[in-house]
Amino acid sequence: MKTTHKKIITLVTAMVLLTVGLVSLSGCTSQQQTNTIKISGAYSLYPMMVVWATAYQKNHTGLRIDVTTGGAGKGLSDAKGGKVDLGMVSFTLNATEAQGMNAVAVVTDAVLAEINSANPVLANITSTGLTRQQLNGIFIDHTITTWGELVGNPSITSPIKVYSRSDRCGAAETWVRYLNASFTQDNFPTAEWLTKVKGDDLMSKSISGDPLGIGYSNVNYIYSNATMQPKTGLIPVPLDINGNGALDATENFYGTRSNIVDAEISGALPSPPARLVYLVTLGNFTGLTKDFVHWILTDGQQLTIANGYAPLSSDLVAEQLQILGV
Amino acid sequence: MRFNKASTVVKRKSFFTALLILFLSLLSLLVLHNTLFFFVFIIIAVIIISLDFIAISRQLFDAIGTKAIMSITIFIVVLFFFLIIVLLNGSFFLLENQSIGDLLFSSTWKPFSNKFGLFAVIIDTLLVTAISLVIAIPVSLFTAIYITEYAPARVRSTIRPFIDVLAGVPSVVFGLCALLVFVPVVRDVIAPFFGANISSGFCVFTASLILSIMVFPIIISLCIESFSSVPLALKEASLSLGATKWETVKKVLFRASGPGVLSAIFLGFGRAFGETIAVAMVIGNQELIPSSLFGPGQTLASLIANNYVEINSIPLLESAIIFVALILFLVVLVFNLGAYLIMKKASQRWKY
Amino acid sequence: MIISVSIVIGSLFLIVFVIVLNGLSSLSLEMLTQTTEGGFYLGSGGGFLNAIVGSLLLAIPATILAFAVGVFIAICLQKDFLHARISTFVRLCLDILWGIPSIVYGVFALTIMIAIGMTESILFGIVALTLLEIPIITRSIDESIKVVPIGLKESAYSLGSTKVETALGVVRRQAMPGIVAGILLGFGRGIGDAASILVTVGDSNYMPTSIFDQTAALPTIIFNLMGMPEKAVQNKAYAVAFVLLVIVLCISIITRYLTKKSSKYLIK
Repeated sequence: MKTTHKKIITLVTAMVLLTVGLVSLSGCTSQQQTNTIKISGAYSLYPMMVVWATAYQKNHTGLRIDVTTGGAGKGLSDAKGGKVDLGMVSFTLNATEAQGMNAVAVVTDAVLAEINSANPVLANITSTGLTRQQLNGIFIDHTITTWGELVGNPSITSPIKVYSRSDRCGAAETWVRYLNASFTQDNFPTAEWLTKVKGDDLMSKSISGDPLGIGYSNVNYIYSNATMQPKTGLIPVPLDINGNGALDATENFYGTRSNIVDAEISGALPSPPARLVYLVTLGNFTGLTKDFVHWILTDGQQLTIANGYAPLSSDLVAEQLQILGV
Repeated sequence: MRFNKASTVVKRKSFFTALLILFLSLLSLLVLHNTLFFFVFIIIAVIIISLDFIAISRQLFDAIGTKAIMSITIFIVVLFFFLIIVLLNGSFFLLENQSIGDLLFSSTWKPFSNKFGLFAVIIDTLLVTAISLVIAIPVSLFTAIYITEYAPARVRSTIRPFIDVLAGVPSVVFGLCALLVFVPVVRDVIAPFFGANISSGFCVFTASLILSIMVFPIIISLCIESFSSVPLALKEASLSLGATKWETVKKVLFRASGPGVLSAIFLGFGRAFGETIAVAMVIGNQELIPSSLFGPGQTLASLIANNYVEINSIPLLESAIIFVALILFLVVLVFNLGAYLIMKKASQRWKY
Repeated sequence: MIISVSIVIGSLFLIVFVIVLNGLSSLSLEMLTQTTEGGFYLGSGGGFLNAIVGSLLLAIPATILAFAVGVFIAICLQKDFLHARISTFVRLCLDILWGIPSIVYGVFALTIMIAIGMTESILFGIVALTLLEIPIITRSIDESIKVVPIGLKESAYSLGSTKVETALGVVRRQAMPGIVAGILLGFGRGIGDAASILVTVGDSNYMPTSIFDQTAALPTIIFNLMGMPEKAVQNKAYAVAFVLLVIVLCISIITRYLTKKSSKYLIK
């Protein structure tokens, strides 16, 4: 009987320890947490949403806001399927996508092209900027294939390595619409010279590791949150918006992230590539979700500039509040 | 059937089991906050303890036990066919909307424009699998030969655990390693060496590299099994006739265990064909047939992993993904069946 | 030939070293004790405790269920219970199920989930993982039952034991090392497999509190980290991979130890 005694004791001790461990873990977080708002979607809105969620939860104990990413396409898909309460979507819904859904714009941000800091023709690009035509030739038509071709210096034969997004995302939609107002993300060709990566971060990571690379992502992934300067290895591509072959004073706002935010507000950076980011939901906004979105459109707007996003104009806010139904 | 009630009552040691079940019930209440499971487990524990006090004759227990065991087995076989049926059912929506020709032989995969051409993806999958096998087969074969024939016993017992550990490493870890080590190496060293200067490292070649490492353990352990089952007498006969060790290996070992090696290769093919995560992380995510090994691609399995997020936005996409899973299932089925038939034929031919 | 062996062993060491070197430096106690809220994905503090709990909540029930089913099937495959032809057919089915990629099981669970009309939850992750583990555990137990010396069983029968009693009493003890190895193998697969839970379990930043919750899991964090902000997140992926690797290595070691220990009843 001795061995059976020992077995019983070890088994019971192990079970008690395990129960205590697991209970204490779950006990810490389960104080009647029946109120949860689930949000998923665009990488571009994620940093802002985390700030909003943290601030909102401070005043609303007992409320849990669960924010995950996955891309704007996932956000839309999850919201449509009822898996999340709010989907973060960084592109404008088309007719089929908007069926049964309600969308409210919450903030403005921008998509910019980026190159590596060791790019062979960096000086040329940063001084004159790139026109829409040139960008079209790089990203869509593949008529400009080497860096030398781009700046008119045939002696530089290093090829342009183009990166784009593989997941359905606002960054791709917005960027392609800047290149041509009638294009959609499907207009990015499926071709070998175009490397498709998933997510804003992988895009920035790839460009910062590839001296010959060019890609595009949300401003918050090009600039560092801490220093407001472009991240190590990345340089944003200035846009020659009026196409005059030179970077005018009004077009040169790439020094720090706050300059870009100012440009978004003033309109110096047109939309696209500046764009509205939406929160979408299936059906109407109701209950806790509605309160949260209301807060975002009012108090929440004050937190945007410090985090690299531009707040909505007051007209726009009024419009959105109407859609929200308050 | 008459059961003799006077037969001895079997006292089963159900104490531990009941305790375990009670513990599970407590867990489910406290951790999962699920009262339903709590009560279910408590009822099961009560039943188990009460069984101890019910007099069941041994024959009855045996009859019930045998029936229970057989029904579970039938359940598994039914499950196997249920799997196929569910996948087929899910694919119907897609098959009604698009022709099989379009699906299998067109290369345009643009779900948002309702195009689901899988041809490029199928070719890529075959390409990646073939290259990974080309790398893996010689390496695994030689390793297996070394372990069975040439290695001293101590070396043998140290290497075996390593192979088992390699077999147990999760595929995400392989994928992460490939992302961090192989992608830059291919991009900066290997691709330029072969003349492809614009490779980003996310290419078919990287995927094949990491796949071959994942396939090593399978082929190695199966080969070791079949090499060890060749009777010593055969090898000794060859050696006694004057053949060198290597000649014995080449002529006798390979011939005798040929079917075993072949079925190992088939199983390795099945594994490589269906590997999802590691490939999805490094293959470049473009549904096209690359012009060189260093261009991006997409395999059937990585297609699912990279595209499943948008299921709810596009109704046909859900059905397309189920269809791709069905293809994976059928191909692996065919190859595993093939491996089995080879072994069966071989055991009829090679009786020693 | 030595080259081949060194390639194989070398690649294993490569993987272990890369993950260990990077993971150990980024792993901190904070990571193991906090959940992913608080900016884990943004490069600041926080940990992935909820993923650890989520993985355990997925793998443990799945292994228990798979074992419960698998042990009965393995017993049934003996010559005493089924005709040889039928048992060969069942073994063939099991072998095919063993080779099926885990993403197929995930899609299968997804299809059922959509048909019932439920959303992603731990429940369906457990379903997919159980299906994945059943062939592994069954095959392992079956292998060890096959080598039970037939004399042992026959002497039990000759003493009047019924079939089920022999199976549960005699064969079980003799096959114990294989059973233990099988369970641990299945568990290791369940903890590490990403494909089957990717489509069925969703994602969350909080601890799972019910079986119908979505949850993060260790393998899916690594896979999803490919799109997260901040370079510091790369190190977090290493840390999670390191934890996974440690778990897998521990399982290997424990398997060896337990196999030796449960061999004390073996009659050679």
